Amino acid sequence: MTILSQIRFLIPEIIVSAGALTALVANALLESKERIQTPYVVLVSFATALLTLVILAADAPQKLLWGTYMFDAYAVYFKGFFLVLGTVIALLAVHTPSISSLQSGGEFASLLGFSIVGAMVAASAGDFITMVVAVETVSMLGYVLAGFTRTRLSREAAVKYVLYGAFSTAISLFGISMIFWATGQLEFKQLSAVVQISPYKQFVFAGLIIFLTGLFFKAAAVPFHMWSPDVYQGSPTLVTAYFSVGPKAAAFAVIGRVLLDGFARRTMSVDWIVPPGIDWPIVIAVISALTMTVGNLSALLQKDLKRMLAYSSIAHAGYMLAGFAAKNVIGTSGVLYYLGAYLLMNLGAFFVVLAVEETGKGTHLDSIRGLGWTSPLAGATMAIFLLSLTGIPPFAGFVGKLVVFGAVVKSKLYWLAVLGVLNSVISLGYYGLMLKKIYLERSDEQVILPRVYSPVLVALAALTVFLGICFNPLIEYTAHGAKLLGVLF
Amino acid sequence: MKGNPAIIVFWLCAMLTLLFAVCVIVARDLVRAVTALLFALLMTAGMYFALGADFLGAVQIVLYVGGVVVLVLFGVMLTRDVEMTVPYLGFGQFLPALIVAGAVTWGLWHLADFLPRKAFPPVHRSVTPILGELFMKKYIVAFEVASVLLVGVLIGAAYLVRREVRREE
Repeated sequence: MTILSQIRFLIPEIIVSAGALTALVANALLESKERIQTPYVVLVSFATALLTLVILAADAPQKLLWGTYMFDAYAVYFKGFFLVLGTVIALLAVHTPSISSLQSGGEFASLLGFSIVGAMVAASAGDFITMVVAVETVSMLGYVLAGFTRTRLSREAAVKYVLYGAFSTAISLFGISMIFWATGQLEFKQLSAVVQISPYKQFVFAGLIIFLTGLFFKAAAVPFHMWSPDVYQGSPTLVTAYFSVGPKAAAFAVIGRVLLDGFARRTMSVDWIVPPGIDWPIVIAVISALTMTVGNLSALLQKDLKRMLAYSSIAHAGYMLAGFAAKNVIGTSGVLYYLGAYLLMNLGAFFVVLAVEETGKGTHLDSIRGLGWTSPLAGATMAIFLLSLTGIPPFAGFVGKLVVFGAVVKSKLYWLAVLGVLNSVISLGYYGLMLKKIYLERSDEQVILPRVYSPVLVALAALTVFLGICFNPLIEYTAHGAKLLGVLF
Repeated sequence: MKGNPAIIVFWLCAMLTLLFAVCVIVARDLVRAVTALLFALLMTAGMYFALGADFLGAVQIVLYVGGVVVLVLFGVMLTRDVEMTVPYLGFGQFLPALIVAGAVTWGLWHLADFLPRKAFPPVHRSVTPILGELFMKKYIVAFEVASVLLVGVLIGAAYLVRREVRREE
């Protein structure tokens, strides 16, 4: 294939980039009152890109541009994931007073658009260079978004995010240079072949651990999570909702591809085989155990809703990592499915907090007191999101946990599965506390949701229930995506 | 390998980089620290040249020595209320830093045992044309995404700075 004919698989990214640029130009041309609407431009580009992605997906899998760009079901799933996320965030950017009152809808939309482009490329990256540039795009634009409201807290969050982010990137790059030194390969698929016979396994393993450390920073896995509660609390809540899903999912997409494509091999009949001497599953398992436990225990102590949800999202990163530690197809498809469920329930929970915050009540735990009575819709949808986050059937979160920990049991990591179940019980402590505030306490103040919030919350809650009941098609697609990792084609 | 002048240049530059890096930490005056940093970065460029990475060396000089350090120097000189002297680190900060640095050095030293021994690369032709071709062919996506990244960062920087001005009005 010529380069030009390969470029057609990049059309979704090109559409989103064009949308982001158009939003910026529109912002300059429009009157200040009309600027609020500019995120719609980028929203339309997300929707168009989603449509082209669906059409292009029929031609997957493709190995493009000398192996630097993979267009497989795994990438398509993540790209779709990021486009849906972008659409929801762009829609709410127009209708959230604290963001739209800044009259910088164009800047917000273009930063969001470019960030989504980075995440989409990261999902497809087939080699370290493309991956680093793509992940950096997501992070860099995140730094600006964190400081978007320019309040003291927001600036503090931005500076903290920049420092930790730059540090983690440097660590990652150091690890990559070690891997490259020992193997002479940057392409993941080639790497898996070289690593099997490499005489420098210890060195490669050390490089891999250092590389993963940088990514764990980005995914906010314990013990590299210290930045995340502060950044999540200080950033504008809409941006926090984006951070808790977008950059985290990008890090997971990359972790999964590097580990399963670059440091494992898979034949069509059996699950992944890890090269001897490079035993990364145990490292992932330990990080996963630490992340879920520390995340949940710390969440119990929080008094602020944003901090509580920040620690909760750390804990969820732990559950998801367990799926990679299982190193089988069910585990990996479980991670992908879990991310999908997490997108719905976590965004939903953050949006309810955002809606309450917009009424001027702040984000203290008491601000949702009696929400079930003052705003039945927000209360009921929040209850669904919280139950799903806890992992109670028949919601999507339950299926995600079931698949991931089923895979963990299948690969005989029983201690991790037991710890996962124990952690779900611990998490009921703080999710239950929120539920208690919502339904068992009373408040007389009326809560009026900003426009568009009601349909968005209902849609997210409906999908959470839908994915909890009708989960098979999505799991089959994610398994289809996982199956191609670690296979040479 | 013997008699390759590049080896001598490499080790000389490496030693000087370390020396200037120590100067950055020890210097109490901010301007002196930045100047030492300038030389440390310049010596790093020397290491790149000795290894035959002429493009990387040029980028190092243009970007870091020419751009970043000069910008930092200007920033320091134009800002009036910045303390020019850097306070000494207390023992409480110095000790953990020393322990971490020592542990990392120890770890890297032992990792070197596992290192593939590679011959010192001969320097006889420029790698810049090869790099240029790679960026236009194999790494075209990375190259284009880098431009997306830069546009995004520019927008972000312009946004954050413009707002500062408006607030002061």
